[in-house]
Amino acid sequence: MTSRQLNLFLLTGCIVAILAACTLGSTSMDFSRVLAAFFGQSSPADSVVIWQIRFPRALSAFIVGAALGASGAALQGLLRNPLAEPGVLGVTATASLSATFALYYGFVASSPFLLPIYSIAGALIATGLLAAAAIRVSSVVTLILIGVGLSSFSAALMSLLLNLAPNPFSLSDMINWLLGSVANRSLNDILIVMPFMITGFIILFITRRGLSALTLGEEAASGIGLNLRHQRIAVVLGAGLTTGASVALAGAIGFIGIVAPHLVRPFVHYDPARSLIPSALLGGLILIIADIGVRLLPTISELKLGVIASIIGAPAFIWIAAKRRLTHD
Amino acid sequence: MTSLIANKVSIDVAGASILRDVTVSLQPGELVAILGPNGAGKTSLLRALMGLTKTSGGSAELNRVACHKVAPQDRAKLISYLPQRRPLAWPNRVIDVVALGRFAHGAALGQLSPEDTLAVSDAINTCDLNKLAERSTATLSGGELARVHFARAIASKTPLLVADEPVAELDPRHQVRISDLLRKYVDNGGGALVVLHDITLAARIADRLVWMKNGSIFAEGTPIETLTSQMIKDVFGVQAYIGNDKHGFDVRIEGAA
Repeated sequence: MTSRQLNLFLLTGCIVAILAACTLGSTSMDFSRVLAAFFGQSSPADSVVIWQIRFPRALSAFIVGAALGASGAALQGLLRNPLAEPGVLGVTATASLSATFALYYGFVASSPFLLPIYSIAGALIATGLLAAAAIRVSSVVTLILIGVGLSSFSAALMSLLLNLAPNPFSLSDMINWLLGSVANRSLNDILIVMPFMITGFIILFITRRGLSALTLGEEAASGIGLNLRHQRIAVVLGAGLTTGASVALAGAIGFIGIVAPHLVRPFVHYDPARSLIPSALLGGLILIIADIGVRLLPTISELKLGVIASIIGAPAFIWIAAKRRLTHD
Repeated sequence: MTSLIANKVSIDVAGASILRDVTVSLQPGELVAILGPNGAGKTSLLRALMGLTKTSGGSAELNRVACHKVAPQDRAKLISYLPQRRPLAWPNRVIDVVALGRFAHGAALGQLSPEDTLAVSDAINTCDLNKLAERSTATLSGGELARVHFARAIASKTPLLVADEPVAELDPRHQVRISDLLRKYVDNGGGALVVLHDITLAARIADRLVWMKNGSIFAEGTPIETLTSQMIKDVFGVQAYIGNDKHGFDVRIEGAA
């Protein structure tokens, strides 16, 4: 399978999964009814259900998964380690912390753009710190440990915020959001994060050749003509924008960025550049399917998407870590 | 003509003097070997010439422009660089690693221009990697990997090559293969600056030997001029027997000086 075929295959999968997600709900619809509602050939009620509830939810799952898949693939290429990922490195946690902070002080009421701006700022601080550390420490293991530390510290500050929550309503608001979910998102919520998302994607896409070059290690990558400084800044910026925007849309959802690139890599000859787009598509596909699962599971209160993602993702992380060749340091 | 020149280069790191007033030059058509004990400053000199380390004094210049000011992409079209440590982050295919040598020419893996494809297949032929081209680098031996890295370097088709211990840790047959490839590169008009630890090998293939010790150049000249037991004693601190017959030089280390 060439990488173009792989992309086409995954894209088709995503479209089918989004349509499938749209059939599910309190009134189940079949595919033809969903398609009719999409193109305005149905009752107004159907149209509202699809356009205002089901489609935004499925699309949010896709966008968030794609953002996390792409930034995972890019960070792994930059740090030359399959365990690098926005969640593991503490980027998601820092973004969540920053956004929770904004929620806590009620800043978000003044403009709908403030929540994404806060969470993106948080993500950029984390990726920036990691990139600065990456220049100084040569061991990638040390770098991941720094990320784990960053993640724990953000989690601690987050607990502090929860601890100090002024009333039970804001507490449950924050918790809901921390667990990560795409339920009840509107097309407007999506539109607000899209400018950041798209800018981030474009930046990551531009860095893709540099990610291939980094396969050789930083010294040889510079030798074959890569500007290391520009590459680091661009990946940090791109990953920060996409991860931050995804946190603003869906809260903290972990491990997608590790699982999707890992599954994609063998199909693209382990080339970080060619794994970028399929990782995004597969990340999106996984989250749409996970969100369908959340809705199908007969639990008393609906499970949060972030909880499911971690329950599947964390063991996968351990498995990938245990399987790594020792020669990678 | 492309020229790479270190002019009285000094490097100080945290108060320690790593290089002092080192002057050396490289031009197409010559193979220059740098010899010296561990810690003599050989790698630091190469890194300064590649613009990877800033110099504290003197200047390292590529075509009369300070090396650290040359854009990486422009430099990569003039010099190929084989660093001492060559970690591969992913188990890529051999052909993709070699194709990375075309990075400065804008090549993207999986969609090479005809010119890039030609350069890559040339390099693969030269380094005898045809049978391994589709293999994953994770499955190769150290000697095969050394050939892959060398192929990557020459796929750039640069006039100059800077290599840090390209034959370290290789078996004799692979040492010969890589050094033959180096010589061939120079005989075809390239210029190579190579750090070597094998004195005999250096004397056999190099046009010029640069002897380094304690961050300075101790001596420089052709093998015939500079390869003496006294030189080896002064630079490496060991007693050595030097033979020179129709088969070339032979250096036998006989013990501590």
